Parts: sequence; C-alpha cells; structure tokens
Amino acid sequence: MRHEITLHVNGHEHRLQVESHHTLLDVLRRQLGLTGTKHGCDCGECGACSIWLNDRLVLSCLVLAAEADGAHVLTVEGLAASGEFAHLQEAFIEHHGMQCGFCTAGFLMAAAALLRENARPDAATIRAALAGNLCRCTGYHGILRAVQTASRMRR
Amino acid sequence: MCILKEDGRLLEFHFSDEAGCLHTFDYVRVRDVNEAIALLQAAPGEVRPLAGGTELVPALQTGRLPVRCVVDIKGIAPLQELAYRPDEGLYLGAVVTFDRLLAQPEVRRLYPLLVEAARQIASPAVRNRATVGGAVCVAAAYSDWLPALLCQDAVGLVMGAAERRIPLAEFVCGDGCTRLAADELLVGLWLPSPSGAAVGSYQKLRLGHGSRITLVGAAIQAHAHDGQLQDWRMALTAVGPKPFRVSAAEALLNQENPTAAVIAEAVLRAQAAAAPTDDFRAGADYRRAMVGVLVRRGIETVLARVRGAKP
Ligand SMILES: Cc1cc2nc3c(=O)[nH]c(=O)nc-3n(C[C@H](O)[C@H](O)[C@H](O)COP(=O)(O)OP(=O)(O)OC[C@H]3O[C@@H](n4cnc5c(N)ncnc54)[C@H](O)[C@@H]3O)c2cc1C
Ligand code: FES
Ligand code: FES
Repeated sequence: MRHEITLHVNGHEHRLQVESHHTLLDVLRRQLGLTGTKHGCDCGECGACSIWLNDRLVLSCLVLAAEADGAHVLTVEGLAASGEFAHLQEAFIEHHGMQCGFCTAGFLMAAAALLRENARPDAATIRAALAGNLCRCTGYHGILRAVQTASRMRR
Repeated sequence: MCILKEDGRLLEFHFSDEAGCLHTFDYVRVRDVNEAIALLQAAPGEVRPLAGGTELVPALQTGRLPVRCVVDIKGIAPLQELAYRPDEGLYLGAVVTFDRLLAQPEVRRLYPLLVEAARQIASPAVRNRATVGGAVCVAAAYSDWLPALLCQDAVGLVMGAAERRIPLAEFVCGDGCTRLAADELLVGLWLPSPSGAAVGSYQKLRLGHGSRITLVGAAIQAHAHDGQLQDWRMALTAVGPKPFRVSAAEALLNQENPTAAVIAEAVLRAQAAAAPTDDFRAGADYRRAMVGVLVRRGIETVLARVRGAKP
C-alpha cells in the first residue's frame, strides 16, 4: 500500500511516496541518500540507525516511514551541519572514539540526546545512555572519554 | 484498503495485495477505539495493532507473520491517557511509552518499583517508543515489566465485542501468550493505589547493559505504615513460562519481622517456586542460585531504603 508522506529532514521538507513496509531507515538512506545513518541489525539491537524523531532519540529501523508522516527528523548530517555538537565530534576525533566508523553516527545522535538533557552527566549516566549502541572496534573507552570531554567543554 | 465511515464503522475492507511479496502489508492510522476494533474484526489475526513497533516492526520484516495490515493505535486519545487519582489509583493508557511513564511525577513518587523496573528496560531510544501496553501484549517470559505490574495487582482493560477487565496474572498465560483475542485491544492498565507508602526494588541480571534478554529478575515491594513494613509482594521473571508472584515468600514476610533467618527462609521459598530451564544463555542451576542472590538483595535494598539509606 502506497502512502504520500511529508518529512521534515534536517530542516528541509520532502514529499515522498513510500510503501507501508518501508522503514524510516530505508527511506532516509535509499530515497533521500542520507547514508550517514547506518543499517545494522534491523531489529533494535545495535543502535547504528539512531536518529531524532520529533526531537526524541529513536531507532529508525523500528519506525515505519508511514508512521513518521509530518514528523521532523534529524540525522547525523543535520547534526553536523547545525554545528551545535561540533565539540562532541571534535572530542570523538581527539579520543579515538571510532575506528571503522560504522557505529559513530548512532553514538553521536545518542550522546547528543544525552547532553541536551543533561549537560554534565557522570560516567554511569553516560554508560546507561549509550547502552543501546554497539561498537565492535573501539572497546568503548574512547567513546566514553569523548562524551565526558564534550560535556566538560560546554557550559 | 479500508474505508471507515464518519461514525467509525467499516464501509469497505480489502487488502491491497501486492504481487505476493512476502513482507508487504497495509498501514492504517486510526483515531478512535471503535475504528481499530472494526478493523481487527474484519480479519482477526491478519490485522494487528501497531503500538511502539519495537517488536512488531522487525517481526514484520522477516515476512514470517501472517499479518496483512497493521493498525496504528498511537493516535487514539484514551489510549494515551496517563492519570493518577488518589481514590482510584493509576491509569496507564496502553500506548504510554516507558519514557513518558518515567517522567510522570506521581509515578515517580508513588510507584518506585515500576520506575526501577522501567529504567532497566532496553535503552533510551527503545524506551522513547516502546509502550507499556505493548510490553504486556508481547508477554515475554523474561519481561522486566510484568513482574513490576504483578506486584501492583494491575488489571488489563480490554475492548472488543465486549469490554473486559482481566487481572494481569490471568491476562498472561505463558511465554508470548495472552488471553487477548485477535480482535481485541488492550486499552489500558489500571493499578490500584498502593496500600501505604510503597518501597520497592527491581533486581535484574542480564548479559550486558542494553541486552534485551533478562536472565533472572526479582521484583520486591513492601508498604510502610508508621515505620512498619506490611503487605510484601514478590514476583520473579525468566524462571518459568511466565513471570509470577511468590505467595509463599510474601506470606512469610507478612507474618514475621524480616530477620536474617526469615530472609533466608524467604529466599528458599522463592527458589522453590522458580522453575528455570537450561538454555544457551544460562543453566537452570545457575538461574536458581541467582534467584537466591537477587531476592536477598531485593529484600535488603527495601529494608535499607526504609531506614533512609539509598544504596
Ligand atoms: C532492543 C530491545 C531491547 C529490549 N529490552 C528489553 C528489556 O531489557 N526488558 C524488557 O522487559 N523488554 C525489553 N524489550 C521488549 C520491549 O519492552 C517491547 O518490545 C515493547 O515494550 C513492546 O511494545 P511496543 O509498543 O513496541 O509493541 P509493538 O511492537 O507495537 O507490538 C508488539 C505486539 O503487541 C501487540 N500490541 C501492542 N499494543 C497492543 C494493544 N494495545 N492491544 C493489543 N495488542 C497490542 C502488537 O500487535 C504486536 O503483536 C526490548 C525490545 C527491544 C527492541
Ligand atoms: S539497525 Fe536499527 S538498531 Fe540496528
Ligand atoms: S568503530 Fe567500528 S563499530 Fe564502532
């Protein structure tokens, strides 16, 4: 079944034709070419597809595109363009928060969601906030340090 | 394709089949309970409610479900309600997300066990979507949510051909099995007011942070009256076909002061009630041993919290 939907992605409005079974992840990557958001497990386990939907952190593989009609979406491309979390991105580079980089977009979206709500999280809070994101390369320490550093850089 | 009349009754209903593609299905959004029920009744089992989608969306992608249409129920106002009335208790609409639940001041003040369990469910991104009703309908044997609800004597409010109220202990009949018919909707959960100032603890053992499978979980709640603890409740998860209350241990804690010997006996009773099985994640013996550790920890945490400490 075909749906005509409107999505506001990274500040731009798009009118799109989607099928009922398309996920928001499918549409972001294939129709809009926003491949920063990664396609990992397709079942909520890895966090690689993390985005913000109407300002809430969600897993785009668990949302049907038709459900998101009229919604505002922020992907890692939009996060980067806004510059609001440039210090977080810098901290990832400085602390080697990535190796292959497959998980990085998801971690950035989750960490930014945390820092927006809690400017000075402690280590346990950071761990809990990033619990839904898996990384098979870094061993997580660089990522945790990056988020800690970013929280100190701001405010 | 379905067309609904103004009053929510069904005018036309047929699936828009597309070339036999395995995982193709229709998506319909409704605003009214009766619209949703009319759709479910049109083809029970083939039409499914969609709440947060955290279980249903990946299951649909496999193409193994016989589902041909999903009905998005998140926009139905009564299902979104979250209200506390001192004389009646807490009403949780079925599509309230865990995130919303955790932000509610009265829930945080009066239902500490619910809060501690909900905080340990999945990750923030999942809690922003997953619903309190969806978790009940999934009825996982390893659910962290069901034991917390069982300790509140929660009742499920169901609508279909008729309205039903089903105590949660009966609502769930096994791993992934509920008393809900395919053309019925869980509208909400009703939780009576606590019988005193509730003190609770949820103890969870899992493979790692964010892992969806709980190896063993123990929910403990008691109610303080003038410094005295009464009305103990205990429920276990992942050590049987469904989460369950341990009435033998509750009875003991209600009769006697929780001395070391009484706690030790309560632990034994919880272990005797558990019926864990072996699987690749953990052996039955290990699970039974951990029931002992978690129940003891839960009771001791409750006692410490009553004394004012907050470990
Ligand atoms: C990555 C991940 C980690 C998780 N970790 C945990 C964990 O640590 N602990 C834990 O306990 N659980 C965990 N879960 C399970 C989670 O709690 C459930 O997936 C969630 O609560 C289901 O709710 P939903 O709204 O997403 O349901 P949906 O996926 O929308 O629906 C699930 C099923 O219930 C039916 N349904 C939903 N609502 C209704 C209703 N109102 N009436 C009738 N039928 C309905 C649907 O038709 C479908 O069959 C995890 C899930 C994921 C994806
Ligand atoms: S792809 Fe969405 S969580 Fe893994
Ligand atoms: S950097 Fe490779 S998965 Fe995280």
